[in-house]
Amino acid sequence: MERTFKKKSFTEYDVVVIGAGHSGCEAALASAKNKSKTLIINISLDNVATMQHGNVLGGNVKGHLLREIDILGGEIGANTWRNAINVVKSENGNNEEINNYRFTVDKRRYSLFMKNVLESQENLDMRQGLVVEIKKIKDGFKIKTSDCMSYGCNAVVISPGSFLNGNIFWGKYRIEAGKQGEINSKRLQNSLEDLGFKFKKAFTFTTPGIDGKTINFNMMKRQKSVFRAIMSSNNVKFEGRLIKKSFITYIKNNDFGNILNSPRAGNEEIEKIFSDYLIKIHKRNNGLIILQPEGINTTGMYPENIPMAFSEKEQLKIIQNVRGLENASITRPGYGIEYSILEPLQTGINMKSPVYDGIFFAGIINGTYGYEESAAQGIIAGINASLYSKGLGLIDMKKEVGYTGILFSEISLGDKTTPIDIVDLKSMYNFKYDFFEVYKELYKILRFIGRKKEIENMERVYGKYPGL
Amino acid sequence: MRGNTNNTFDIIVVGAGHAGCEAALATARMGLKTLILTINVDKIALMPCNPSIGGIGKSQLVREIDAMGGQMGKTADKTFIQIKNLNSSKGPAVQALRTQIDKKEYEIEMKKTLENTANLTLRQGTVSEIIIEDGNAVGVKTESGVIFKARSVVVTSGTFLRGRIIIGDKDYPAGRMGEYPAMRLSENLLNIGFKIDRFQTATPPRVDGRTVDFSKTSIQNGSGESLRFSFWDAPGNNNNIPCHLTYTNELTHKIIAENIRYSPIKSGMVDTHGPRHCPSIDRKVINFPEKTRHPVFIEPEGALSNEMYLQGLTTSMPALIQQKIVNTVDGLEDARIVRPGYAVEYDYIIPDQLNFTLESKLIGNLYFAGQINGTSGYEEAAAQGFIAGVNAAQKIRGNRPIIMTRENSYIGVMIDDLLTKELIEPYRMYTSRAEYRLLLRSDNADVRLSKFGLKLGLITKEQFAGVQLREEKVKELISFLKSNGLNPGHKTNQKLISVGTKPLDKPNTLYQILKRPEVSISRLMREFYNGQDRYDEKVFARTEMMVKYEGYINRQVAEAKKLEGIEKYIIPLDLDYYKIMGITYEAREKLSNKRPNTLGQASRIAGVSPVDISVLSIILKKKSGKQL
Repeated sequence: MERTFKKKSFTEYDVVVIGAGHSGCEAALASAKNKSKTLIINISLDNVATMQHGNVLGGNVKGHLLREIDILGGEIGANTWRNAINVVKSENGNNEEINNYRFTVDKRRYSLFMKNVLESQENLDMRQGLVVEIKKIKDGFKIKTSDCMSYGCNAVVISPGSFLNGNIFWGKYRIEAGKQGEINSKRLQNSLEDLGFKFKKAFTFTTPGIDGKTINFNMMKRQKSVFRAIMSSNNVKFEGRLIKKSFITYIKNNDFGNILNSPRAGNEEIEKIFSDYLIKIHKRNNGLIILQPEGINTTGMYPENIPMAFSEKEQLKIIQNVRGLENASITRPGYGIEYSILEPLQTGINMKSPVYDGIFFAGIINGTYGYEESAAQGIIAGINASLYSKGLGLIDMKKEVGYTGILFSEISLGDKTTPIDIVDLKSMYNFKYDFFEVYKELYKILRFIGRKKEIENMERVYGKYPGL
Repeated sequence: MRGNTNNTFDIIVVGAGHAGCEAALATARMGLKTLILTINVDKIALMPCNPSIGGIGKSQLVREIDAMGGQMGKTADKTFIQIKNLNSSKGPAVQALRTQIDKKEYEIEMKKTLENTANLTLRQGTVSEIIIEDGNAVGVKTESGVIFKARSVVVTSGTFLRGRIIIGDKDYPAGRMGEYPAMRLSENLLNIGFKIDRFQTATPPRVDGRTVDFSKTSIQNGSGESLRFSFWDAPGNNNNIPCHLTYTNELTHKIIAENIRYSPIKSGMVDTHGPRHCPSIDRKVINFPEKTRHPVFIEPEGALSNEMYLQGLTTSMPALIQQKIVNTVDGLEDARIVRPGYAVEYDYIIPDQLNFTLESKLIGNLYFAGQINGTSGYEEAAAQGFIAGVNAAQKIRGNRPIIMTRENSYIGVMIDDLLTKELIEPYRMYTSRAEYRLLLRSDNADVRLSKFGLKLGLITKEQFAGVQLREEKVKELISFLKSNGLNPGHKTNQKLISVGTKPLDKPNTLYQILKRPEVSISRLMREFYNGQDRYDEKVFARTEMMVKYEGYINRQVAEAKKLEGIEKYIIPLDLDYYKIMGITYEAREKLSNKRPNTLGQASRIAGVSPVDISVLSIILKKKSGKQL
């Protein structure tokens, strides 16, 4: 019996998203929900939406970002509520009408659930692969992976995170990697440079992971947890489950001079960036350290806001200088990551390249820092990539559109000398958050792209505003 | 708990895969300060290939590890999505338990176990060097320059040593897809003087479950009973998510044959050997051209995951061809590959460089376990890890090592094979390797081995007493069966027919009746003796086994006894074979290379004939004046 098999085009898509980090996931979901045939490619499908820096989302300023993304139908909010293991009310100096919370999520589960959401999304395909080339062809692009597969698309969202020529280092040790243990992506940058894009180096740093069994919690104060938090418009209820506590403690001698003078290896540029970064963080916090749990099923904890790229010996000295951590041991050292980001002015306010129609950039490749910032860019890049592939007009995020607006404004116009962190932007722009204005703009966007469900959710949670 | 800040431990385990986890948990539970080092603490106990634990030959290994107090069985019981009895209609020697595992839950659970075990420290670090002093391992150094000291080191690095991934004609360094390999440790081992070779293993593509047409496949359910690997009362679960079975066809084979030049086997990209009993579909088609179809099992990788593992379609052909191949299979016409299959090539140390304790002959206090010894399979790795760990601990304590033998366990068969045979492909366990497989059954692993667990302190006295109590009950039940019988009478015969067997024509003991293959002991007892619930399922199962297979079991016991002498006869490790007249040159060469510990082991070395063994035994008798 002659068997024939149907020819299926597994390699033609409307939108391809490169990288399944926080921005990539939002972009892929947004594009797929907008009925574009979407493919998301990640080097390993076991590493979707992982968290290299801490596992706390939300907070005073970023909480607003979360909310804005959530209103637009993004997943980061829902996934956060779903996997939260502790919720703390953030210090709200501004008396804003909406409260903000800090959510500690189970890292592992966050990643697994996000992957699940992607797997179950209609119009969305996932693929494990390392992208090595993007070529411009008629009507779109050809995306090539290292196993010689070739995917055609009308629009591409590039969100490689810290993997673009990523190198990690601590003490004198340096290795090519996008994250600890994971291979980086090299040829993609070459391919983008061939297209005319220009890159420069950026740095970020992670905190060490501490063995929870070696922590003396009695010397620390437990953070007051909250049992009722604002509901997500995505209909995922937060029951206020409290599973793991976070703790407050202090660096013993509140003098950073000590730490910064200890011997470090590495080049001067990195050292300067690192010390500036550390000082800035500590000016904000006054030597205060918050210890967060990594997950439900692990004893691992990590101290927020003391990232390090010192040698392991040095790291231990610093850690043991924190109240309650005198006998602590480090499970995994903090490290610095050097990676490539775009030079300024290569991403527009709509996340699209001003030079190439159809190429969108999202995430830390735009010089930002933070999961929420990445997700915000991702969702707009995804929506716009989808609109572009349908031949429709794109959404421009105006400055008035809340924190998302400022963020995008900074990305498209800023000079990127330091990583763009929304908290800095807030003080820079002296922004007065007017939720009604934000609501109006987001509502308009949702109307434009025809998202009935998201509009219904929005009205249900935040109320109907007259005149819209 | 006090953090360890001086980096000194009793035992260091390099690698937190299946072997590493067993080793570290065993030594920590035995009270030794243990460090387990891994490249990435978020990748513990990964299952890079089949989402399954157990199966023919392997189930026995899991049970044996469990019987001695190891971990794998317990974690599998907690995280399976399906559990099944295999070959339940065939003889007890080949029966096995097989689980489909939720991979991610398994990792989370194993990491949780490691973190919550006293005396055990988990650290992230890539080991690049074994530190040696006076011919003994005294510690390790990581790539970032950190030094850890210990009295013993167990190396369980899996497929990471100079790992290279191959898909079609593309290759790049990696230990697993997306993870960078360990490059320097191999070099270090070579420099120390170990003989190293390379093997490869491959994994099939995964497809998007939403694109599979399950209506064209046949469903494969679990057994649905409350089956467990673990002998002890550890918590399990009751999941029963099905797998599906389909087949390749002539079109599949045609496409493979047409594209065979792209297969790394043919193209020369891979010239190392892969596991023969886990062959790629390319190899199956080359080797079995007359077969019109090969089975393909569609297995979910987790309870929540949409990814389906295609068992039977292992390949490292180029990704595009893999897609074509997959789409020829019934039910997979529209299936989209999510992860392409690939081969990974890696260094391993030739295992005849180890002793029965898995300590290396070259360097003292240095042990090797798992895929680094040339084996393939999670269960094989875990078993070795356990043995290496407990023996490292025993040595530190000054106690006698735990030696597994061919007569007491599958683990013993595996270790003996590794030390004795020529490895031309990764070693995988299957039942036909064990000549005493009727004695080494899944169901009696606790009887055979829990005493070792007790000796090591990994099994409690209560648990051991439970095993002995059950054995007493089995003996009691057997003697009951032998001393009670039935007479041929109308009522009796009616009952016998209702139990599914022929009526009696003369009086018979229950024992004799139970020997009939179709009679089940529980039904027999229920029918004729109410209130026989002093015996639980396990006692019934063992009794039934002993009765039905009495003849075969006795025969194997006799065979084992006959060879006992030769097995246990110790050969001095420094014996100069070249000075022995009467043995062939080839035998002298092989014996000098392998340095067997016992005459039994010597007899199994390829190139050593029975005549050589006779000559050896006479020489050794003369030397020691002992009677053989």
